[in-house]
Amino acid sequence: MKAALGLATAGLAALVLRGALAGSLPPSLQPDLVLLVVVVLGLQLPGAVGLLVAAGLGCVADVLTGALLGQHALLFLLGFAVTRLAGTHLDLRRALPGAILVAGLSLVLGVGSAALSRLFAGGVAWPAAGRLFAQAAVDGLVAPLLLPLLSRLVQALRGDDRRAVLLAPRRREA
Amino acid sequence: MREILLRLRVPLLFGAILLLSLASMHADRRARESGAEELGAARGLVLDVTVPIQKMIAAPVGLVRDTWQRYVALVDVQRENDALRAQLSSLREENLQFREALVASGRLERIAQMRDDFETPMLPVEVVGQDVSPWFRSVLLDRGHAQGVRAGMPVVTDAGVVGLVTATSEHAGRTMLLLDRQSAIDGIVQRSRARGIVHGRGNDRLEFEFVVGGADVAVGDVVISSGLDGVYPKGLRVAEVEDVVSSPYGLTQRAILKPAVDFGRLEQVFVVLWRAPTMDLLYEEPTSPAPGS
Repeated sequence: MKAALGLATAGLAALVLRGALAGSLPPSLQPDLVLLVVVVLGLQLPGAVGLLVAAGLGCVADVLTGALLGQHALLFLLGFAVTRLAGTHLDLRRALPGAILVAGLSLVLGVGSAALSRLFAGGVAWPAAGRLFAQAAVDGLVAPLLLPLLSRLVQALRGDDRRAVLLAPRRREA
Repeated sequence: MREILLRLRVPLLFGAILLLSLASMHADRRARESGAEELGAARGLVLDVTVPIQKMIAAPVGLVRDTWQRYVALVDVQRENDALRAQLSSLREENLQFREALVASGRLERIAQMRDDFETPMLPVEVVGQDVSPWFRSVLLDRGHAQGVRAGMPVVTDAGVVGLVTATSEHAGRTMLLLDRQSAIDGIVQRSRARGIVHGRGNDRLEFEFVVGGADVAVGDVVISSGLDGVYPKGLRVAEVEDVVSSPYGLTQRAILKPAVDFGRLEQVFVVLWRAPTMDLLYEEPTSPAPGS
């Protein structure tokens, strides 16, 4: 539970931080920090709780960006599912597979976001290929730095969880 | 049965959230079309809570950036200063000539109209968060409907058009920037009066699609709002033409524009406390039906 709360907090912090730092960097050089949190959710919390946290983060992103309510939730859900699937076949703890996955997801999310906007709002242009690939490259480059950090955070919090579970019966016995 | 449900818990939940998201998007689209203006309690709360936090984080970041820009990175400032002085002097002269021409032409009502245009009340608002997602170009404002900000109001700076307020909560607002791919404004080339629609492209440039092919437009031309979209007032500076692209047979023409506003340095903007009649219709609050109707 602590791990889920920790990642939810990290995701919210990522949203706020990205918004606050936006003026300092060109848009295509700003990593999509929330996407990294979603990937860690898929790797470390592959169950129902992780799914709910990913969808919840998507809803908050929808409110802050002005996207249709559910748009980011759906895309993050997709990101979560792809990560979970990839995690069963690849060793995503290694830098290169992790970076490739994040870059690929970044591309999918960019195209998916435009596709959903076109489907529901109509008349919205597709993002330029250059912009899509630049964003994917930045996300992929940042991934080997941030994914291990976030994973360590989860492991630290999960360690506390396990200790709490071990301690609980002793307390009852006492 | 219970075991099967437990085993399929994650795929079932995935499917349920997927369907919910699609239904939610559809409902949100319909709500926007029917003119839902203020965010609901939960969504308003998210905005009201986020804006002060973002403001708190952005303050030290802005301080560092300002210190760097104002006191350290002063290369080229002298040259830029000289160029700006020269430009100012030239513009003063040009302005004087325009005034003379207006008075001489006897079109004094136009001057009165211009004065009215510029007397529209504006509310200074601070930009506290920008581009939370890479695929949506929006900013958060630290003023909401408690301060008179309403969805459908234009947002400007002294340089030109910034965008449009799309939603408000009690003390916060959200603005879709002109750069957003869902953004559009009816514009005219100031010099030749060629008309078209200016679209956002999601990056730092805009696209101007002309109503007719072969429009008189050149690099460096200034594009202003035409007022015909019923959203933005007429005469606001939108962008400058950077490149002109014609289709192979010259049937269509478009131009790539550099926005008048530097969106990377948005700090303070002004919400024009005016909403076009068409926007009033769109965002009109539902009135209760007359008794007996």
